[in-house]
Amino acid sequence: MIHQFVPMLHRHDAVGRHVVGIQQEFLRRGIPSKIFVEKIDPDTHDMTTLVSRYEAVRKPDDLLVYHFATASQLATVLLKRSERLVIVYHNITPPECFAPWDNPLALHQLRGQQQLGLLAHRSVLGVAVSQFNRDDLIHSGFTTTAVLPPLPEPFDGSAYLRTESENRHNWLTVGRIAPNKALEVAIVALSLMRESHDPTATLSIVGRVALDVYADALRRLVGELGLEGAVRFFGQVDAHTLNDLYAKASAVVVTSVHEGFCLQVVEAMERSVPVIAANAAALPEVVGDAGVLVAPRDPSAVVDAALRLRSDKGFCASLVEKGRGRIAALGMNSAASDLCDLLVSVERKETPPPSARVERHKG
Amino acid sequence: MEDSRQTNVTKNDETSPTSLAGATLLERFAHFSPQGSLRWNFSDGFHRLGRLLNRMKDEEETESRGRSRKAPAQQLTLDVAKEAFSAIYESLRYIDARLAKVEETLERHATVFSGWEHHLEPLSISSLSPWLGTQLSPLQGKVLVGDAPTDLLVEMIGGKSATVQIVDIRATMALHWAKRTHRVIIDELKNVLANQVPHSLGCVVFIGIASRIGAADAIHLVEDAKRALAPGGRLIVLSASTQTPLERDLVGHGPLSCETWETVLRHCGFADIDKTTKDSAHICLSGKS
Repeated sequence: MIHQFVPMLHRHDAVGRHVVGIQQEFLRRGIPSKIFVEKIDPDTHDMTTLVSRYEAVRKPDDLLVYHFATASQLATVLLKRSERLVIVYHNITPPECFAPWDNPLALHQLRGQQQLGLLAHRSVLGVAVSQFNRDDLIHSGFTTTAVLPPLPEPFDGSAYLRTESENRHNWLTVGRIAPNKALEVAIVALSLMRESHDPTATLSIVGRVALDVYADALRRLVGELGLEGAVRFFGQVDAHTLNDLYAKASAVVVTSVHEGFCLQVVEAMERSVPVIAANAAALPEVVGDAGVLVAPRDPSAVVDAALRLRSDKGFCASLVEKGRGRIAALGMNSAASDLCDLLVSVERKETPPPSARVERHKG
Repeated sequence: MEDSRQTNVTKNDETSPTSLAGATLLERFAHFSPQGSLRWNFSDGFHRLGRLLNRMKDEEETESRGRSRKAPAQQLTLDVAKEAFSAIYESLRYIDARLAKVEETLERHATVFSGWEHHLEPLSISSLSPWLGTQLSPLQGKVLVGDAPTDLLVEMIGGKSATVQIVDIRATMALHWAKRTHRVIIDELKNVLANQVPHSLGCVVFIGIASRIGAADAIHLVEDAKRALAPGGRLIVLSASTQTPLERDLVGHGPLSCETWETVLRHCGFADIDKTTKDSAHICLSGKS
């Protein structure tokens, strides 16, 4: 039997969607499988079982699949078990991103990295959602790795219509408000854009606050630059509002210095919004040639990219066109099925499917 | 795909007025972080130590393979020593500044934390002295005190001629409680326990945290304590059972009762459970490993 383990199953986050997608694929194939958690989220309590109850259903040849994104007690529990273990690695934000803002949180991330290293010696396979993440796994000591993309958020484009203004720069960023997103770069870029080119330019920031001190600092920066009214913090929004913001956006700006994948990039591409992204971490791999990559932490490069998208309509249209096919090009449409194929092949000790790009590395 | 990545990267002239203006504004933002201008010391020191260790490992491997080395051995050792000293010095400077910052923040938010501080007062360790004395009387080996030890308790334990390791997470706790990131504290304590040599402790004392956690965390902490305690060692759990509305909000329910703690201790294999009846409003019990 193949069982999935995750510290807590949240229906609407990227890891939760991944776990549920795989579970649904198992069910579709008639493969019995359970999701074990350390803590139960009331929203998904009907789909999960406490890890303490695993012992009652365990079989010696079980394959355990642990979704790893943060340090947790669950990792310690799994380290002590004897069943074969596969890690699906969703990335850990490096401690140095948090150190200036919240040192205990940085230590927590450090613990996560240490746990990944311990799990490496206990696992038969590490599955990364990007090549960038695969490098993390190799660095942590995994000797067999695979790369399969995350599952995309379902999007019904039938009622979606682009309504962007022809001349204004309305930038959008989507994602949790955390230091690795380097949102200060987008804010400073907006300030430069308003000062030199378009005094009506705006920036909409969508996403929950992950770190209060960082969000407070961003608001202070907005105030000091006189951008109140031009920068709007929306917090978490529903799908309808988000689609509305995408429809009005002239560009999605991703200034992150660290991303393990960045689903927001493909989300924007799917909605025909041109993407300006930092040339950092997994972003070049996800953006490919369907967006403009800019030097990390360079606000003036963001401004130049936005101006080019506005002035060169042909270039902009070609990026949007390439972006629409990006989900398929990245293999995201078949991600759940491909991962299930891979896990089944590991469970049966068969040759892994080529789609998983399995590689072996020196220990 | 590789080629396209190379061609669609935009990078500006770093000396252009726009680039300089952007860089200046970003530098200003960096000073908004709690660590201000010291922010890179941690990561710099951290990275340099990492690089240093890698370099030492590489050199070791090269040497073991019997290949020629890039630098004479003496020079390399000197370089390594200099670099290590400098990296550690930077890290220490960071920690020093961070501690000063915590103290300053605590002072600034004294009113916010007062509710938390008061929790220990009604517990009144002194009124529990005779009971604690009994619990601590067979004390041997290292003692680990998690959370917020009072001077009296430390004195009592110290008087037993035992080695006392205090894990005082008061400052972290207060800060995180205010920021609603209290999980870090629980993880901190779990981590400290997990890092103990199995069966190496004579006694583990939990103070304060007991009324601020749920059953799942309680089981984890007690299990970890059991693993760290030597056979016959004692776990002592002390806490005020009253909760502030903020704590109730964070935990999601009221404090675990003394009876629940007793069940948790028994479930995790503790025997000889001793509850004090001195004050029914508080969680005060101990169990033998």
